[in-house]
Amino acid sequence: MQKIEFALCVSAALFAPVFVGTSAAQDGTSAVQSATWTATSPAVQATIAGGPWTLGQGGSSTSGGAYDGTTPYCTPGKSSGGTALVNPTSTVNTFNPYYFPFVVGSGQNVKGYFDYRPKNINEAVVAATSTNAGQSWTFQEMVEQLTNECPNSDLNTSNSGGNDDGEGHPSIISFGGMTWLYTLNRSTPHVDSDGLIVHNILPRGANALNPLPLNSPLMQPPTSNLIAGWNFNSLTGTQLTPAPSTNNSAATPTAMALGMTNSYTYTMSPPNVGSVNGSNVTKTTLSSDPSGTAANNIGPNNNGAWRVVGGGTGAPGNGWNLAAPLCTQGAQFMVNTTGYRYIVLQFDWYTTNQGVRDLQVLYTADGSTWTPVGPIQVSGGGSAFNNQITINFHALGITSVENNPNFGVQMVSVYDPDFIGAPAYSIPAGGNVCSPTGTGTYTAASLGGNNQPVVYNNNSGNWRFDEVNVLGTASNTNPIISDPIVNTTGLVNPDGLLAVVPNTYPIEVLYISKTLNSDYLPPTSYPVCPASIPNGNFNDDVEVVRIATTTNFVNFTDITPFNTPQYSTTSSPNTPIQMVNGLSDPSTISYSGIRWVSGNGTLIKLSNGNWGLFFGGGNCLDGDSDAFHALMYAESNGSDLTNWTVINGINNPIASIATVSSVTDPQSGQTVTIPSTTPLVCLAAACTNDTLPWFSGRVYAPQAIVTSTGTVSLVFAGYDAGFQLGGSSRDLSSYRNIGQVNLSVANVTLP
Amino acid sequence: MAKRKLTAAILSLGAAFVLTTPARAGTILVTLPTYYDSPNGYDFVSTFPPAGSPTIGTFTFSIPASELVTGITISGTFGNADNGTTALSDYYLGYSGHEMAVEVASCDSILADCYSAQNGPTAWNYTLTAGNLSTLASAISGGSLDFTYTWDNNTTFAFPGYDQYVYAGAATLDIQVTPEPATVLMCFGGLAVIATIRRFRRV
Repeated sequence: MQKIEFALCVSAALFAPVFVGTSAAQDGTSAVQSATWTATSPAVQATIAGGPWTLGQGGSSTSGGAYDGTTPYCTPGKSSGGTALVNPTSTVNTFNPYYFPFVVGSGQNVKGYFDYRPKNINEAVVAATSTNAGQSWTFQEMVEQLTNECPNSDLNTSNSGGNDDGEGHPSIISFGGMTWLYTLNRSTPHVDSDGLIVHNILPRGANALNPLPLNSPLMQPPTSNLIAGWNFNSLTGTQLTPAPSTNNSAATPTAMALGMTNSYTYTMSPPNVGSVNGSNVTKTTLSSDPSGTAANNIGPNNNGAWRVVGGGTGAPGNGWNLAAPLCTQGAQFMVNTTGYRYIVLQFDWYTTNQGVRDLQVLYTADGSTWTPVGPIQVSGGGSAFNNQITINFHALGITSVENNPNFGVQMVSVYDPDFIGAPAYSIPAGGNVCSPTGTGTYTAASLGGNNQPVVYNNNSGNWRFDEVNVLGTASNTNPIISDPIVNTTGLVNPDGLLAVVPNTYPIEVLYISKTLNSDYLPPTSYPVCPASIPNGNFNDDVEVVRIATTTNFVNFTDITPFNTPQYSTTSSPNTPIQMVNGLSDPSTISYSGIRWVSGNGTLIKLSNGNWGLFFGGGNCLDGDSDAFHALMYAESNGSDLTNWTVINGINNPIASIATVSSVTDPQSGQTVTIPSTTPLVCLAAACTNDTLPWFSGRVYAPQAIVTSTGTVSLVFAGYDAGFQLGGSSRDLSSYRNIGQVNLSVANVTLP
Repeated sequence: MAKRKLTAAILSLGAAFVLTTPARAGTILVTLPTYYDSPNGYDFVSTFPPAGSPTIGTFTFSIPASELVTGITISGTFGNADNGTTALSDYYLGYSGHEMAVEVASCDSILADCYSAQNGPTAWNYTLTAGNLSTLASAISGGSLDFTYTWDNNTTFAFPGYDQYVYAGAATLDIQVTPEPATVLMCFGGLAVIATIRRFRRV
């Protein structure tokens, strides 16, 4: 025993001086070389433990869903409704439908904020934590949801109007122990024009979004009542003033056609003059009309829709005419809303192939003054319904229509912003699409052979309406419990924060400035993208990255310098606009160019003195300004973050949507394949068409978590391409996915 | 010969034992949980933190009677999983009546990572000097050290209603110990005695 003690003593004495050393600080690398990134793991779909319903619980794309899937969105679900599912943390699901991650922290233990957005059902902000740098997550809290209604079908086209336009794209500024959460108000017409919604939060453990309420102020009360509605099912033949099918208002609602009786000249052989209103009810398939059996909506059917058209006795014209002033042809519905608040308009709109392509909703609160509300509605392509177009007056902050005997709406034709012939669309400053001084051309719903809009033929085509409903909440119903909306000021048409610059005061941010439908308006009258391949969509938004500062998290000052977009089809250069230089070009129509940039990127200070920026971007192939074509990387070698060099762009991205092969670049005229080289993630593991299914349709919002001085874990969002298919082919089972991939870096070290 | 082999075997076993349990022999680790100053936030315009040093927690430990403390390192983070940043603040080790005896960390600038990094929390660590150990000697020998902080008066960022908060991550006290010299001497003395006895037996 003594020998053992002796041995221990000797050993202790011998090893006592041994201390754990510290690693020497690594020296900085070259100050001139840019970072070179390499993917070191396959891109994988992340998981989430707990939280609200996920897509995988609903089953596959063809045999289940939120309404009647294996585990529905609500419990018990289906026609019984119930309450929204809350998974225990012991339940681990694929991390969808979530997107627009914003991750804070470094190393393995990080916190993420996500946009939870089940299609047409809900939208909310969710916080979760990860202990493995974003491969798997644990739900913490959900707040600011748009609705607490259960879906009434897998596509949920009726409850809440199939609305999922709430608060999204969360991002965070952390400063001095304060946490500021910013969300995008996606409701029309607030999106991309209002300031971001600002929330001051005080995270406390699992209450990561404390003290925000579960419900968003954008929420429409689920107890909405149908004040008045038209389904046209009991009407036949000529109907110049069709009666409502439901009336719970204090007066008799009225409907009438607008501008169908006129003296315009029609393109006929020989040309003829004049039209008389001949509007009538006709059977039309595939509206959202829920009355009767499902067979009502498939041919042969007995589902009536109201056709607005000329053709009445006494004149030869079709009613719709190229000479009609803006906003003078269409339909009008008047509904007394006395006793109701939280007013919502919903309607189905059908265009024949030759019907006018663009519709604008107007409203009145005094019975005579009409004001545009919501965006220009664009036909889906002819001989088809656009179902349940929704105008949520409450969410728009328009309270004048509540408890109002003079409330009414008009759905009227407007010029086509996508028409690239003459006269081109131009509205006066101020943006009133119905301004009598506006110029442009009415086009047809069915596109031309080159997928471009064509001029309305001036002698045929019509619009039809179904399920025109005005809803509201009885005034004696309890109000929604939510928080007040506080908007940022000074951010110009913000679409979200791109990155927050660390260690700055005033606090500096890069943000996305998106001006809707403005690439045909001076000074941003840039060449328009041709119809996108393969979906034929157009997009007229001008989107740039700008810089702003704030000292109080609410009021911002834009400090973006003026730069000149590069590409012009005329002999004159473009007019300089405020945008950072080199990151994107709102004028480019090259498929290799970055026309759009999306929010929720990551900014990292590198050892070479540069700023590194991970970001999502898009091009004219997308037909959409949401900037989801590829995950890319750029560096800025200045301290002001205003000049950028793209290192990994559209053609050598970190990740990309599916390859588009052998297309003619509209700017260079060359035949190109996009991307031209294999994306980094596909060099690390096998891909198909240079992508993986779960982000083959969209990929964006890269969040780079620094896991060592030479590695990051990249958390990002993606859609399955199947989601982009239309109609019944649309795959709702794999979209809005959260994914993860590991990257290593050469030439620089990370903080 | 057999005894020599037995002695060698015992020595080897002892060395192996010590080698495989170095933490027990040389380091004492004590960790306090993550911390936030709830619900108190201050905007430095209409509300100000009280004087004094709130206690985050008390490290309690036991130094074996046969061992000496040769060094102490404390580590933690500015900010934590709730918030990656913290208000301007200073952190101390001390004991009753002397809570701010030794400053071990400070967040002194609104441009520093502790206050305005966007990927926090920010790690810090501090190794106590010989003077610090002397200052805290009585508390160390008593096995109790208070971990406290004070607010800095933030004159740079101050807006009415914009309350700032102190967030601190888990703090770890790393106490390095060695056997007392007397114990070491006893060990070597014992070794000498055994060697002498064995030498005489061999003769």
